Amino acid sequence: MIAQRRKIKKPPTLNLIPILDAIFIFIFFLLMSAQFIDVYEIGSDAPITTTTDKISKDKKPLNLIIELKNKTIIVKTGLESIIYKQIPLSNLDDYNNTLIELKQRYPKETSAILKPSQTFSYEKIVKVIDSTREISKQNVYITAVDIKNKPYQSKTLFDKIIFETQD
Amino acid sequence: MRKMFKKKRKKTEMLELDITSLLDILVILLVFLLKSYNASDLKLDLVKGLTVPSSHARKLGNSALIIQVDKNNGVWLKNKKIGVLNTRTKEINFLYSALKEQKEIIKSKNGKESNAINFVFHKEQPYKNLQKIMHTSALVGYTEFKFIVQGNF
Repeated sequence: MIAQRRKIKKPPTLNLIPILDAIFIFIFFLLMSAQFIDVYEIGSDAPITTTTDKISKDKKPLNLIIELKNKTIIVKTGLESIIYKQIPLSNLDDYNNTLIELKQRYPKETSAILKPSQTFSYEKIVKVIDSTREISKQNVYITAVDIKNKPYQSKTLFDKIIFETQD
Repeated sequence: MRKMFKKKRKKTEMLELDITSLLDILVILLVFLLKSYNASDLKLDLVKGLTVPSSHARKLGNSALIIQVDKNNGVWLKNKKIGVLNTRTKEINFLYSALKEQKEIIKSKNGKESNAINFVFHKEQPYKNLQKIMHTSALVGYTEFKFIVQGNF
């Protein structure tokens, strides 16, 4: 008797305009701040000399010196700068292992003095710095100690690089 | 006759634009831009003929005075060429005076001195040139050297 009216339900439409406005603003902000090369920094301080009367009798300082000559890395240690090891530049893994060995013996030492030869290229210096600052192998960690002598797992080796400025 | 020429009123419909493809592009662009987003306040415009070496360093650069040395030994301070490295002496006079001037400007602007300086060297530069730049900068009072490298991890 009473004819039922069929109501055609319209599909609900989403109002995308506000979200589009937000995305547009976000894109402009990102485009303005985008830098297409990932730049990072390696810090190094100019050498400052200090004099001290106190000489620790417990343990001699490491005084790690890394000389870069032609295609060889010479690792020197001690106050007398005795050659600890000579490693070819092509074998940076061996160099990294040597520094891991030294860091395990001197966990509190953080600095290394870099002495490249006059013709040594910047790119090679950066590669050596990378191997000096951090353990290159994955899943390899060493036990370092903090100021309170608390041990912790770390990948950092000698992260304070000082360039030798004298000839 | 009138009826024939009488214009029929058409119901104006809302024009619907299909923005699906535009949205797709925007989402892709957003992902790409978010990936390349760098929180560093260092803005670097590399000069022509300069390729920075790649490194595993992960510390973001900070805003400071920038010295660039291109592959032809050209020295650039704040993106302006100030001279060419060809001196045999350890000090570079033109760089020394330019840095000194910049230090004064920064001091009068900010009221305090900054010792940090960013070095952007071409990857094939020999150490002797780096040494000269570092030495001259240290003489002016810029003792915190920051070597700018490209991340490769």
